[in-house]
Amino acid sequence: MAKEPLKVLTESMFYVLLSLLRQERCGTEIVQFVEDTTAGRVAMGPGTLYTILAKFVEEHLIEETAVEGRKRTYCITERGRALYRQELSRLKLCVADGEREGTQ
Amino acid sequence: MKKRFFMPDTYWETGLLEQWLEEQAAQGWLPVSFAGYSSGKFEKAEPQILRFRLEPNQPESFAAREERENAYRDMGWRFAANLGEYRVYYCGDQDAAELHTDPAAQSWAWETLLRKLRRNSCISMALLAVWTVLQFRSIWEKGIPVETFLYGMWGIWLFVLWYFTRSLVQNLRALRGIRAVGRRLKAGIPLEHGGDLKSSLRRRKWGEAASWAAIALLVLFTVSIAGGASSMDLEEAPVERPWVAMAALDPETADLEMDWAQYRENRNLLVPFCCQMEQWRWEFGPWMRADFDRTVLPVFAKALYEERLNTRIKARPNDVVEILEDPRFDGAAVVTGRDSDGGRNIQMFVAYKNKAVVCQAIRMDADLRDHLDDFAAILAEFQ
Repeated sequence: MAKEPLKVLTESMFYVLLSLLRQERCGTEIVQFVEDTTAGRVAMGPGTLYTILAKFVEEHLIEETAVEGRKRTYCITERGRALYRQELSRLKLCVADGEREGTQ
Repeated sequence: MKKRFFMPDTYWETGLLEQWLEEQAAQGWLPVSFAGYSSGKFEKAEPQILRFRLEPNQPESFAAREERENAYRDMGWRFAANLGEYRVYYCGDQDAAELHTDPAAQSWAWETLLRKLRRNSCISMALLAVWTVLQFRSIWEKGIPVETFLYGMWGIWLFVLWYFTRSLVQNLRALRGIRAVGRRLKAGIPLEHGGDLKSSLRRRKWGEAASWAAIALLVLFTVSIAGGASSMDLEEAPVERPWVAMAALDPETADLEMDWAQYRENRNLLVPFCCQMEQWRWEFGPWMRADFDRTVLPVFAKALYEERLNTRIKARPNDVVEILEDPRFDGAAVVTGRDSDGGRNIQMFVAYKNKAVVCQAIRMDADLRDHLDDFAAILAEFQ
């Protein structure tokens, strides 16, 4: 079943928002954060990263804060935080349902 | 050393293009540039195992592109060349992450390109339809489709129909393929890597060969039509002439010096021999024109006879039409009228027998009906 754009996030999209939650980061820092946080479980290809960043900027979920030469830094917006919280709640509900049904 | 190779013929199946590039690299050929979606120029290098991935060209600023390319390079992916609407990247590190690891995000990258490819395909088909219709415009412009067809347009129209059919099939295949890619990405399924490369390359090669063969045939055909035509003064025309001479119709008029007397003949596949003669004089206005055609099939002769008769009737609706029942002709008719200014006799005789058609028109004091024996002999002799 196709996911509606930005109503349900994929893992890659979720972790990009997570990486910007506490601090601004550039593209390579985001990749490193995802790699470290998930212990390599979530692979973030460069094409995927930059497609997500471009889409998130377009949807005002993140914004560019600084451009130093070829390095662009991003930060999350309030809209991005709201989407992150919405996705987190959804995931928590999934986990709760799974644990409840799984233990019966 | 550089060499050009044909590409697979399905530009929407990036997996197939990627597989082709990888096989080229394994044989020691690295891409330098591409000519649209038809072929690519490669340079010789060491055979190597590389991963190739195609990504839709994104509209972005130079700075954004530079940053993206740097990040790709840092993660092991290098830019090779532009291939149509795609950017080609390759990676020699088998442990490096794939270029795209999220199909849902990948579908965003493809949205604009898929829309553009669909739109281009539809515009192509519309332009193709308009072009095709225009190639047949001589049917209604000249009003003599049978003659137009027989005298050479059949070759052009055959080429047009072949080109139209081939292009339509290609465009429909492309549209179907592009829609399939869009549906796959929307469903969150990663794009396939690989496919039936052999069949695709074989189709490409045969397609290119067929195209060149068709163009060569068209050129040969056009040259043969032009080369088969000749025109000269009437006095230089061959002795055996498939028309009733003016001297036999009206000796007094024939003695006058004509201001114009020309003979033309032509040959092509469907009409192995055809000739036209025309002679006239300004002062008294006598005029005579004769057309003779020997076609390859009786059905063509009949169609040409009917067209000539109907064209005359349409041009001179007040003339008297007489259909002749004569066993020496498969069909014969005489159309008789008067000149609007001088009241002179204007008459046309047209007949066909088997594969030959004779048509003679005059403006003089003579009656072509008195020379049916001559016309029957002409049709019998020039079969």
